[in-house]
Amino acid sequence: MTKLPLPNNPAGLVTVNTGVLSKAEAVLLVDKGCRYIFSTELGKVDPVVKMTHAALLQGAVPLFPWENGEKEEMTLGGSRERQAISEAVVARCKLERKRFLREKVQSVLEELMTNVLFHAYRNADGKEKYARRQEAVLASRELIAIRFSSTAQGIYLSVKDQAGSLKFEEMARALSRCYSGHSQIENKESGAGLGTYMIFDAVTHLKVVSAPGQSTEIACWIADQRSFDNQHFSFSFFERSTK
Amino acid sequence: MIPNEKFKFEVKPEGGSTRITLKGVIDEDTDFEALKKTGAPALVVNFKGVTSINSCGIRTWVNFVKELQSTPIQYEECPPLVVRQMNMVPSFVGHAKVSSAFVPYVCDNCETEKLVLVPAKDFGNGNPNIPETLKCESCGEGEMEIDGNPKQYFAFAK
Repeated sequence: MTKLPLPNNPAGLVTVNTGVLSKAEAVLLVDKGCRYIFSTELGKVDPVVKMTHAALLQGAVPLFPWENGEKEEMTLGGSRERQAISEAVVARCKLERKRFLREKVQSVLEELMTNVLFHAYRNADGKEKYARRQEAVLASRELIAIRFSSTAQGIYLSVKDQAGSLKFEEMARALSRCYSGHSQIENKESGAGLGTYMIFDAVTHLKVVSAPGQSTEIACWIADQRSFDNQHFSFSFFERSTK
Repeated sequence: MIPNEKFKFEVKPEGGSTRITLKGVIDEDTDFEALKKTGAPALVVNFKGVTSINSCGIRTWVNFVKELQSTPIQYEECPPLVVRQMNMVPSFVGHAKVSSAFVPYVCDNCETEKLVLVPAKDFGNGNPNIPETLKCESCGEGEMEIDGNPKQYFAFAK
């Protein structure tokens, strides 16, 4: 294990494993406060790790290679639109004949959209604005941007809200409780824990860019396991200053 | 509560048990209350028609199964999307026994997919005894391989 220090930000170490991490091992690191994890055999000389470290030292957010390329964009305005968006993404990415990848993409997209719809927006008292068992219709300033693209190696998805309410600590807690045991799944009416766990488990790369009070974008890349070694993965949570 | 057109189920008494056939989407709108009232001494749940299940649906199902702790339950014809939930969330199976599951095969030549139903005797203890390849009936040239790792796919049976 190698850690690349970030001056003035001891919690923001870039942790690099020189072998291959399991997702459960990565979650243990996330739970300890590590926001940048790369499971790569190349260790700290991995170009993506070097790029990330350099960007963080400058206070910037890197654009990863898996984010490159032209994206299509759709807008989610309410809970009833989720299925239509999911079907459109499957069609545009030509996933009809790729069951494994299609079901993964649909599952991840469903959880991304559901989490954002029901957890991103809060009332003045801090309580969630939209309840899960009711139809959610977003206000125009709350519309959610869905971006996606497809290559032979995998599918890129991103969901961006206009709330900026997701905190790293919440995400870490959600992941760690699902990986450490499943008892919390039961007897629970709401919460993003299981959905976040399902997303992290299914994707190869997961990147969160949070601008507190303004927006949160969760971008991910889902490898087509028929043509890509998906033992390598990454997790990163960037926070832009909004002051 | 909004009306749920996405999910349907059929309940059919069969001998000493009741077969429940689920169809459609299991999500935050799905309500299993009616299924609790069957009063059947044993349940057979058929998942073949389930097309999607999200985290809210998983949670609802886990709680449903937990409430039927004293009722023997059997899961049959589980499609890949249900198998994935069983592997990810062990309490999705709970005390139920899985009697059969579909395994996805894909042709390396024409990419045609095929689901093959495998009985529990062929995946018991998580050691699958299933063919690694099948002849593709669609193109007649390619070999169909399991779409995924068989041991990981049947991890729920360990």
